Amino acid sequence: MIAGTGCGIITNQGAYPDPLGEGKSYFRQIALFDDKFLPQFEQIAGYIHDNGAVAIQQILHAGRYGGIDLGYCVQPSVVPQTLPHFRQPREVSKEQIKAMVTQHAEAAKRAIKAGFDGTEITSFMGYLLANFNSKFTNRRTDEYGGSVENRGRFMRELIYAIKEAQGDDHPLIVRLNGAELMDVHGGNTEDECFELMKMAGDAGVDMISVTVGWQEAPESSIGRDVPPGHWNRLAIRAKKLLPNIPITFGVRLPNPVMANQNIADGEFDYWEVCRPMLAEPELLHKAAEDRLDEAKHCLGCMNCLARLFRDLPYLCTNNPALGHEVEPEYLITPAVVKKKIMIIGAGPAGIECAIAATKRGHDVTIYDKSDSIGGSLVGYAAYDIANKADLQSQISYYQTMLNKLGVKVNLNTDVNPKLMRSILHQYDVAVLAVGAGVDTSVIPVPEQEGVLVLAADVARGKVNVGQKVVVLGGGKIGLTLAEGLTQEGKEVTIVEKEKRIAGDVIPTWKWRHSSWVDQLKIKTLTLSKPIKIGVGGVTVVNDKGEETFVEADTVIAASPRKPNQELFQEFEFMVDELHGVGDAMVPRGLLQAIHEGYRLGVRI
Amino acid sequence: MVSTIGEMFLDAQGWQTILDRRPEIFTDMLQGASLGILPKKELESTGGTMLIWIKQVDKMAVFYRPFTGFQNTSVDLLMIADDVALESLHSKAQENPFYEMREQIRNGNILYYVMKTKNELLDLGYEELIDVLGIPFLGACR
Repeated sequence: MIAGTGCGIITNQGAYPDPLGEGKSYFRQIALFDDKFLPQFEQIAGYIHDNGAVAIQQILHAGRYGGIDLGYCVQPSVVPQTLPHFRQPREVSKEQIKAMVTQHAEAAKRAIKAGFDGTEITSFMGYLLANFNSKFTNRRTDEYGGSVENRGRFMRELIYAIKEAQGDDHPLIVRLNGAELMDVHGGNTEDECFELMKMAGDAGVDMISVTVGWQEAPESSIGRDVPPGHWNRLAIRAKKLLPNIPITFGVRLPNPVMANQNIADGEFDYWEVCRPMLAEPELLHKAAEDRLDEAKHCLGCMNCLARLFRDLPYLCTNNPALGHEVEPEYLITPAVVKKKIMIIGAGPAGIECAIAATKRGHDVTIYDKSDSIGGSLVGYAAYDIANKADLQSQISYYQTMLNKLGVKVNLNTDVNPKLMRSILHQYDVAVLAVGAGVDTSVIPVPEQEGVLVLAADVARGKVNVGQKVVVLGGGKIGLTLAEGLTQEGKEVTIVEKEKRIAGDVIPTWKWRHSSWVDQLKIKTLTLSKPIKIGVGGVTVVNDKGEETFVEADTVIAASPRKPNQELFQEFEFMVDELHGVGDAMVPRGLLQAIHEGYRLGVRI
Repeated sequence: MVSTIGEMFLDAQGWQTILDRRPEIFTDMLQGASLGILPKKELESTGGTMLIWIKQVDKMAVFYRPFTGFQNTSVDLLMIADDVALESLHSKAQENPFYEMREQIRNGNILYYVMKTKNELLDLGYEELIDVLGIPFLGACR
């Protein structure tokens, strides 16, 4: 499937080159330190060539982020980790450096022997080559440390050795930071990065891929909170610096139309794409056929990388089949028995189920009591301070697909037992994808009408919110609303019963929400719960029994969430097959909604 | 009365006051868990002094130890603080120094290093401190 994406060059995932596994950075990473691995590489190169693409094998020694199966990692100097996922460092000797160069060259030779057209080495994200290049991790006093010239020595030796090993007919690509984003740690300046880039060019690399940031960088580089095109200036600088070397670029550049224009404008020569194609493997074909409205987008949620930090295989929020391409259970295949399906709920879970089921030949109708599709995603998109367009594009995609597939959508329709009785036997299958609500039974009854409102109603703009706001619940719903409302100028206080906020937030966004709450100076009361919603505000008590009065014109109920499961029992004897998906089963998030909806759609 | 940055750094009583104000942060830590604070200007020195907080049976206590390089450091977490951060922390001992520490980390005036893995830190009871300081604990995924 990857080989068939339409890419002109396909780079296979980085293989670590050393037998000890000091270069191994993540679970299930491939290795290339022995000829015994050749058959699998031959197969991959063959797949790529069969689809007309150039096959490149990346050789990745992770250095500071390596040794994932060991108790240590290796670096030019001992500089302790700033992220506790990684192993503690050992300094490499000059003999070890020579051995590393040899291992890289042998791995490259092996890749060519397996049928790959060229190889790539990588100095970004904080891997071994970056560790030598950067002042942050290279504090050596021998010929491999000190000046840029000396720090770049390891890179030059790698380039010379690999070029010699694989021959002039096979290109060598190097990925280099245009910016490390490690200034606070004393990392390389951008000028030093480009000095190293020039050095790589002079040493004979055939192509340079410009990248941004280290894993440990204290600022975002590829998440949704970075605007598309933000880093293009680095590619432009590289192209000006090295006009005769092909420059590839793709950092936070998810849109093929934008990338195409950038190439036409001479900003760089080739568009690199990874995450957008994990989300939508047919991205290039859809772009070429002017069907981008049918393409799913990378939502910049970084769940893919978060999984690697848990030693788990990749997955994609937006592509449930990723990593399961050869499993029939994940593929859209014609249904043996065509069924009439009613899906109750036009959120991501319901629509994903509808799209997959319709593609299989089922006759699908969606019902939703609101006046638009999207479910809770509508609210997230409206208040997301990272990048509203990314989440809104998901809703646009859903609308397009429902229209193109001819899925019937009945909005403003509350599905209840009475309605079900009126349409009895019209459907073979009912899918409850009605999401979750807030359990208001645990919230004090307000003394004043209109003060307490539901998060969903705020998110969909159904209610007016006063200037002083208390949000009950510091999970992702409460935080998203609190941040958005604060940006609108409201004075917001979050009341959270747990010790910490963001308890239900995915790991990649926990720190973002925490930072935003601090930056926006949103007051948070943790280990606290409301005991009275009175005139003018909320009385809150903490775990020590201390009471606080918080002024509020509006109190938003954002927690605790409860699944909307009432219809399960009501409908049990009204339809042949009854299923549930997404938050209606257990309140979680977008990933589970998309995955469960799709998985049900391909199996009904 | 301390006035210079050097005196502030060596004011053990002042640092102990900071720790004693928020004992709950250290409640779950095992005895012997330790955090070092090193003035940035002493990072390259081989004979510098490091302030260490070491968990005792009943509380977190302040000590001083020589700093002779990363390789010889036995603390679990190491903070490298510039003069601005040290002065700011010390001057806010009676206010909210841990919030200030978090701010200084965000601003880049305090750099932190972890000398133990995620699981080791969890086992030693660091979850609360790491949360208070806002350190990306399980991978940043920028």
